[in-house]
Amino acid sequence: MKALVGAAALAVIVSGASVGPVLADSESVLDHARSSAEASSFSGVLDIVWRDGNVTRQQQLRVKAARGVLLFEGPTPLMALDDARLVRENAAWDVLWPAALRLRRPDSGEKYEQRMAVGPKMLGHDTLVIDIRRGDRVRERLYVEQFFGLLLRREQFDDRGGVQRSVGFRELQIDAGAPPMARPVSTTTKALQSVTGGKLHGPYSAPVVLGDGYRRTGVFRKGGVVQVVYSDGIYDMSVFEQRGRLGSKAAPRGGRPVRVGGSKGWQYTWPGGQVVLWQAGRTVYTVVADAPYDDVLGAIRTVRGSSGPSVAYRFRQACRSLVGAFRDDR
Amino acid sequence: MSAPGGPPVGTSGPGGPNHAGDHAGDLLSALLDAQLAPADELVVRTHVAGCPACATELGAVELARSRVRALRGLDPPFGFYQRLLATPRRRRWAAASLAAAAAASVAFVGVLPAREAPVHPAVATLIRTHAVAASVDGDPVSQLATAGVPVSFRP
Repeated sequence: MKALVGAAALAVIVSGASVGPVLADSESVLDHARSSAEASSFSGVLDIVWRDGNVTRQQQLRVKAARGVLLFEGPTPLMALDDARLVRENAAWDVLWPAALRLRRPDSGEKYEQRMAVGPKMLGHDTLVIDIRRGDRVRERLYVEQFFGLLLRREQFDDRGGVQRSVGFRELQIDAGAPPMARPVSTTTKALQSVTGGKLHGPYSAPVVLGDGYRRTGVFRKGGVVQVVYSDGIYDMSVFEQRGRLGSKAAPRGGRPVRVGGSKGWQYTWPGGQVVLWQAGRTVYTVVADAPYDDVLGAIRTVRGSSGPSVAYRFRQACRSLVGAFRDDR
Repeated sequence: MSAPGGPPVGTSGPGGPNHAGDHAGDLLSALLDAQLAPADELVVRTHVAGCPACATELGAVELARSRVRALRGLDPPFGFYQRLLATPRRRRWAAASLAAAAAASVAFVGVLPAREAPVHPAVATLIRTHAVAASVDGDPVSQLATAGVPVSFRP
């Protein structure tokens, strides 16, 4: 019912305007797409395409949803169960994200302009197209099914206007009368624990704002890993912090070398975005983001450790190396 | 062992002058300085008398000795002895400073916590963790799908 109301509202908004101006409630389109995906019953195949350097990669993934259960089939099945997120490993469902944890995405209107227009027919469905613009550039384009509000395709553009990555339905069957899917009877938990940002100690830090308008939306800890989640309303970024030093040969193969402040780092591409890995001081940082790469670089420059090791730290390391050399000689 | 052209250079007994070679060698200088025991002096002189090589060397050593002795004496420049005496003190200070710096460094290292443990970030797991978090407040289909694609990040 909520989906229908939202879709009706969208239809009213765009009626009579082929390319509308900035819509006051375009924010609700994304919210509506999320609630639609959680409430609708459908099945289909997704095309996931991304550029990795000069290579374009592509994968397909089967997905089905029914009344609050969203299941991705593949080598490692994932499930969205209402607000919880689970992964199936070793023949058991593990809770990666408990339903009780919340993130509060900031308003994207401060940074982005959103324009909505009537879109092309996709897989037999009428669509609305939402362009998310930053300055004179379209950063993201969303194709939303008009009646149910389901997000059919999402494209992210690079700084030259080319498609950097996309996720979209290749096949889709919407079936409102589909029977409910089985819910996991028992689960184990690998879930994170929420941490108050101000209570981090030692080498960990969680600035409230990062880079160009990325606001902290949550701080979590699991074992020795602290995850600080940021969002600018459209994109998300996780800064993972681990106390220690980057072990020799610890960086995965295939990374492109980058400089992060005074430190050497590596950049990788994953189907949903970018990864940057580096060590600064006593902390190893891994930033995972679905944001454009220039946003990622801008954000990591404001991470505390990105200025590189301090003079005192380098001096201590030098002393340690000196003593180590004598120890080795014995 | 015998020296060509002369009797072997012998010794006067245990602890006395002994030359393992065929000629008198260093014993010539000791002979000129009157540092040989009478018995050894007799042996060396007997050898030199029968050995032209040692006789020639004895003459050369004696000539050099007399020329060195004939050199005029020189006074050292002003302050030479003071500087000579002061140098060890400066060296002692430098050595003390170096030792203190080394001790301070060792102490500095000693009070530090142990060297940080190596970390090997599980990049694939971190990616999935991020995608899961992003899907909670974003579109679950497009956000979670990227986490479902198998990727390999191995050292």
